[in-house]
Amino acid sequence: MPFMKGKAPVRRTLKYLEAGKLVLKNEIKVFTVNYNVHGAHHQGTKEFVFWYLPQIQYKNPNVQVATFKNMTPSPFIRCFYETGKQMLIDCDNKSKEDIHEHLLKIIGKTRETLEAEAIAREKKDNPANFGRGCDRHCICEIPGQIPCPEIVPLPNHMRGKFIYAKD
Amino acid sequence: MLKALNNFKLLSMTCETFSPNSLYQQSVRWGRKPLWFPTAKSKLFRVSPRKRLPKEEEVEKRRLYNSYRTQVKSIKQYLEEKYSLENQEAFDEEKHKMEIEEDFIQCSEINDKWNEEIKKSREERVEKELQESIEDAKRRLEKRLKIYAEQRETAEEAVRQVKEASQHFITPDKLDAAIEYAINNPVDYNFALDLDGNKIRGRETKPPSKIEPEKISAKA
Repeated sequence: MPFMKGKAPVRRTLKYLEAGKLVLKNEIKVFTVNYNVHGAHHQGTKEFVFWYLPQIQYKNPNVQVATFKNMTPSPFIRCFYETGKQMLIDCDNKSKEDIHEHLLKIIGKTRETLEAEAIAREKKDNPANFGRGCDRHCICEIPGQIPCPEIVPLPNHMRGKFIYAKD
Repeated sequence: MLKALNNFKLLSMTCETFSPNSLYQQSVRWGRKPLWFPTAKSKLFRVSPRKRLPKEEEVEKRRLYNSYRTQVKSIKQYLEEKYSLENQEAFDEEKHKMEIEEDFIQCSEINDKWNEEIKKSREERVEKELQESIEDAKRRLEKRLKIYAEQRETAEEAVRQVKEASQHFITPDKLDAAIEYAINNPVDYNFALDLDGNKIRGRETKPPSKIEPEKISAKA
């Protein structure tokens, strides 16, 4: 089938991706995970990468997410901030749920911040607005306002050439 | 010219659809007089009468309107003050930076505690694995040593057997005696074996019953 690709194609569905909870803070620009493919203490991180990384990348399209395999004796996650600082998170022998929870606390936006951002976004999308980027380009398109002078000329007392005529 | 054009445009806009087949349609010039048309001659000097209400009603109306307007004014002023620039907190970049740094420090503390816990458990695990691997190595060493010992024993056993047998070897000085012995004691291989293991010698003894020699057939 052309759409059910990969081991767990549910990870590619919109519903699954939208359900991602981890929205990284604005200052984080790079998110890397180091782990091995074999080794019992690496399994938690490996599963975390398999299940949660698509959600993270979907919710943070402007963050670089990278994985490095078979280069480390013990798995870890590293976040790089705009200011140049780094956050090293050890994940040795931890399950994917534990890692996810910890990341939500450390580098995720809080629920309140996300709600405030959602409200701000709604305010910007006011349907009553007109102009650039809105449905209606001009005030003449709004019912109840003076029609476009292109179609129906304005009355003479509203036209400059009659008001300022020197007769 | 412009007037004619405008009239034409107006006609097309506000006229009802004029179909030559329907005779029961009345066409309307316009729904209402356009804003910029001058007042009609019949209406030029028209003075519409002033409507006056009885005094009590006027007083009541004024009271209601006043109360409504004060309410609206108060709301408007409140909102103006609330959203005025003075009251709005200006976006302070330094303060924002400080907040980000503080947040980073707090999160780093939580993360450090988490890392410490994991470090402890990891070191325990690594030590355990190291001990296990040492013991495993010891066991393997013992096994190998045992194998070597067994091999040495089998080798020694073989050497001992050969040593024992070497006593009966015929060396050049024992040669004459050996030849004499061999001549004096010939070994007779001409015997038959019973199921019970009895050797039945052929030179001295006779077989128990007559056995006719088997003829070899041509087919076989």
